[in-house]
Amino acid sequence: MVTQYAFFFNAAACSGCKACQVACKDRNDLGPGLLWRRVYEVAGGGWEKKNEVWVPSVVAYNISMACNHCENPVCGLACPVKAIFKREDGIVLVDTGACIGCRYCEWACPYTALRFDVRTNTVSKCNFCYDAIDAGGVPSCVASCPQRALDFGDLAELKRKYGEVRQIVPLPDPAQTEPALVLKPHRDAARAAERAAEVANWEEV
Amino acid sequence: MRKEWPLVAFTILGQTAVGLVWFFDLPFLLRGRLPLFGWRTAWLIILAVAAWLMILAAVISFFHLRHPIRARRALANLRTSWLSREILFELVFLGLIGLIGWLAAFRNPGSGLLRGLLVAASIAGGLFLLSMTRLYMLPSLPVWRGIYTPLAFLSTTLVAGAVSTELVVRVVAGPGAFALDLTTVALVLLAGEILIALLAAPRHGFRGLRPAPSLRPGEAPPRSLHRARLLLLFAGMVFLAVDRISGGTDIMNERGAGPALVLALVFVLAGEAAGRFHYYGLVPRPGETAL
Repeated sequence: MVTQYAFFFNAAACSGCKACQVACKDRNDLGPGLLWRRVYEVAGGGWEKKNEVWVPSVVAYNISMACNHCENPVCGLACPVKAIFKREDGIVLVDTGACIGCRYCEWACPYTALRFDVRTNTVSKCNFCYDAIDAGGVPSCVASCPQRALDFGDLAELKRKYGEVRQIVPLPDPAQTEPALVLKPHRDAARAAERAAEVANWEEV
Repeated sequence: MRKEWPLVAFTILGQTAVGLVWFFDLPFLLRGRLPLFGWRTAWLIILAVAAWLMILAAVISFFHLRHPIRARRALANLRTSWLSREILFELVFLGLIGLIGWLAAFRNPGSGLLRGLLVAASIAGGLFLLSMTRLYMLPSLPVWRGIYTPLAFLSTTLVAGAVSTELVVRVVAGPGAFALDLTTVALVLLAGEILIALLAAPRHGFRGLRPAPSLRPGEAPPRSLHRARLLLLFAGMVFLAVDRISGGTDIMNERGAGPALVLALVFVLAGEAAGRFHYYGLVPRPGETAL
């Protein structure tokens, strides 16, 4: 029995093709401007002088990010009407029939997973394709990735398989929410902070 | 940022109402008295104005909800949600000042009961302010998490409260009648608020926080809003000083507020509004850059 579903993301393998983003949008019939999974392009650095020679010091990688179905879902804790709840298998869902549209959860989530849906006038977010999961299937983002950079499963199992990394620049401190997320960092991630890397594609996310 | 106007109005009106009750009632309470003798009319006006400000704030707050009818369940998560707690203390504060006003106007209750209710209303106002502050001090938002949020909310409460209390007191009793020199108090508080904004306003203050890279767009609110806030608050200070120097009387009669005090309140509220729009502009809604 799964006690906490989680995502694995391999930043070293992601090419930034955004197939996961589009598959999610397609499967969940999301309207224009609404993204439950987003691919952030992280970039930094420039040129640096080494022994009288200028060499590029660019760091660049992609992060595919949706709701991390946190063990401590601060969005749900902030919600005044308890419209955000956690299932027994750890999946965090929004009850759009109860949401009052105050949008405080948008501010509370450090992963910006909660997104306002202008069609329903409520917040919305990744639901882990729970209906597919319940039927023994796979989340659409995981299924669509041509690089196999995404995986899912029980958090404990994913940690055994891939390790315990949960943070690379510019993701928040995981202690805030205990995200159900395991990462394999891109090699550039180790130098991202010192080279002031940040999200470079705000218009797309 | 402009879309947050209901929150701008709600916070400023609510904080002004708390400031009104604090500045008028606490001097009496601290001396173990009640504003029943000699100050009854002013007291009832203060309570009525505070109650109307709270009702107006509550009505305006519905404009930031997309499903206001469902908000009847807004007290469902008092255990963990500061928004639920803010609404609870808002209702308690409004209920208490309404009850006190009704008792003082139409009943003749014992002074012990009234004093107890006044203390409770002052505490409820404080808890309303505290929950409003904690609501924004989210670990996910470093620009709101720091000391600036409580300082900004408290200074609005004190400055707007002091100036509006002075205005009511002046209209009812004339200058110099109240136990506290609220014009001088407001001048000092306003200078403090300007100093806080100059030093600590995130993004544009001298030592204000610049957020680290995150998954939230790093857009800053326009610097012009920060400047407008400083200029408007300074104009408020100038008019308060003019009011202080001129003795605060109306040109036409000895009672009533002079135009300088009215203008001071207008500029103070305008400055608070500019500052609050700047505050909400610090944290753009995720995904809105794509729309």
